[in-house]
Amino acid sequence: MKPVVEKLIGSLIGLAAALAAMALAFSLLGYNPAEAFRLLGEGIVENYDIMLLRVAPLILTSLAFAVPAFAGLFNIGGEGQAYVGALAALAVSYIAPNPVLCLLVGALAGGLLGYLAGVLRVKRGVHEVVSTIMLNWIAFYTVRYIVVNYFKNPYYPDTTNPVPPPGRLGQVAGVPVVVFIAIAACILCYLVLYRMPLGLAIRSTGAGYEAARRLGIDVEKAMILSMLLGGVFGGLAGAVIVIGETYNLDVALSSVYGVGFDGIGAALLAWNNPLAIPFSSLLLSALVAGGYQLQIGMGIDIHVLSIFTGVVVFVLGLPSLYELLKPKLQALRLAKARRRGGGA
Amino acid sequence: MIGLIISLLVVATRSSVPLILASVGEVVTEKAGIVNIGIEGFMLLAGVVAAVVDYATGSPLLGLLAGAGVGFILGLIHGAASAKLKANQIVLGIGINILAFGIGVAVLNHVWGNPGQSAPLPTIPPIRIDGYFTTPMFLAAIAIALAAHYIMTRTTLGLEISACGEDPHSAEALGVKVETLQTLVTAVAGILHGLAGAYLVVDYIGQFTRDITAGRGFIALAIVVLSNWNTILALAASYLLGLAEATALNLQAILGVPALSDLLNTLPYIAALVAITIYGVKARAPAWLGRPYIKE
Repeated sequence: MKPVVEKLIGSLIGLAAALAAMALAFSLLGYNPAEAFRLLGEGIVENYDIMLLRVAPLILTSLAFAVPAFAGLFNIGGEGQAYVGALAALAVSYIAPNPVLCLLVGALAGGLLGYLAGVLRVKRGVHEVVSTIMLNWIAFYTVRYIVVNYFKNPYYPDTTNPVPPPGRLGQVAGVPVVVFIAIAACILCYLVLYRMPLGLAIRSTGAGYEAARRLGIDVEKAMILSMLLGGVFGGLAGAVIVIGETYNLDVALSSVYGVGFDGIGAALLAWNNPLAIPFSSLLLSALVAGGYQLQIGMGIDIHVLSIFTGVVVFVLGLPSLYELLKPKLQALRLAKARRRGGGA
Repeated sequence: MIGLIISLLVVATRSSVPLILASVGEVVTEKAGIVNIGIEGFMLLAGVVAAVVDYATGSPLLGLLAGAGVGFILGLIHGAASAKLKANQIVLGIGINILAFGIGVAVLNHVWGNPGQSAPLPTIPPIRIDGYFTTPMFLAAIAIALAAHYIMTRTTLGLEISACGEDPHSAEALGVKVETLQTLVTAVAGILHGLAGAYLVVDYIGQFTRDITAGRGFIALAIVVLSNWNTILALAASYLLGLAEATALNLQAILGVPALSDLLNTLPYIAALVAITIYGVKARAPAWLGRPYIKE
């Protein structure tokens, strides 16, 4: 385990690199970076409601990545899990407009997709990176098929029929209810990982598969359950978008599109710590809120912000600067000690 | 019926090209012990650069060349970060994919004023035979796959590459510069990934769209497992999955029910997932795949 300070420095380096990359991208594209960043900042203040709405699904897709990561698995299927979660919640709302029921079924749908990837990995050796991406695309097209053919709003053909009002979640004291749900999920996740036998099994499996197995931990079960749990959070992410934010889906699934991958960035930025994830997610959702202003003010498409997330992920994949310098620092210290020893 | 089958087989020669190039490149990379999850990103970035070059010069060949160059540079970065810096190879790849998507949208936005797609671009002239048409790139892809197979099975270089992935310590002891070789292999394979992405733009699709790769980089990763890390089998598996894509496209045209097109689109992904579920279990990955090799 790395000390907290080292992790924090690593994340800050990632953020700095991502900001630099954005500045570079802006200037290469012929925009004034200072003006772009001013608009971004302005957008965060202006669109703080968007920031609060976007933070909830982002927290949940971060958890979707983080929980399996503790078992040593890479769930990059948060995206697909969110699609099916959104669809399931929407479908349930038409029949039984109860927000709790909608969220539960959405979570279940995402969980099934995660479970499938977990079983394929453990029983058939299918790497979860490949299976989850395949499932993302299968989910995307299937969900879009259902949205376009069955749920279309006759008055606004680009969107689905809205969630009936009794199925919606609103705000409490200016904060969307779904934000509280997402934060509760983080706390629950922390308790499961650090206070329950399942969490111990998951963390041991990730720390050393062979050692955990020899200690009698059912590593296969831990891997499958970690993917199931990750999928549950991914599905919940889609459900909170539909039940607490947009109250419908559009034919391009644009309110869900990308949220799974942004979640990976937020999770890595928080070093997969469930209690740090709300903060890293808030940061990235602030960026989204700012991005809308950028789109209005300069005509820069919001998806350009993927450059930021991508650089954050890339830099956090690299060993930290400290790790790279460690052997050199040690050599330096050793040489200094020797010199001192020689002088005495 | 016969006409339909022939037409499917011919369309598959075009749809399989990016899969052949990407999977052959990845087989060799993984043989050397490096895993590249970022193929999708390589293809996207190479594709967008190829689009800009094609657009500016009117030459799809120059676009292809530019794409190859982008792939090489990205491969050098991924290879060096993985082999020399001992980075987390999977996280790096995810990062490259997300970054490439953002850059693709940014360039589309800037050059064509549309964040979704570019204008139609000049394409590589097809080979026409008896009413059907295919692409010269199919022949090039087969030649590349055969050359890769020859190098991997018949030359010392191929043996050294495999040694890096199976037992890097012994390889190093026998005089192979493991880190350097791993970096170079990833970079050269990057050329193939770059070609795959550029081909989509300057030949197969004829324009750049933000989702142009549509998971093909990951289908290529599935093919690598299906092939059991064998370039010839990767070639065959790529063709079969290309056939799945061709079938989906043809069924859309034949059925003429636009409502079903989304469902048919899932066909190649389902085919890849089912194939890897059935046959993947027998595959054996290189022993040191994705594990950082630390010199003693």
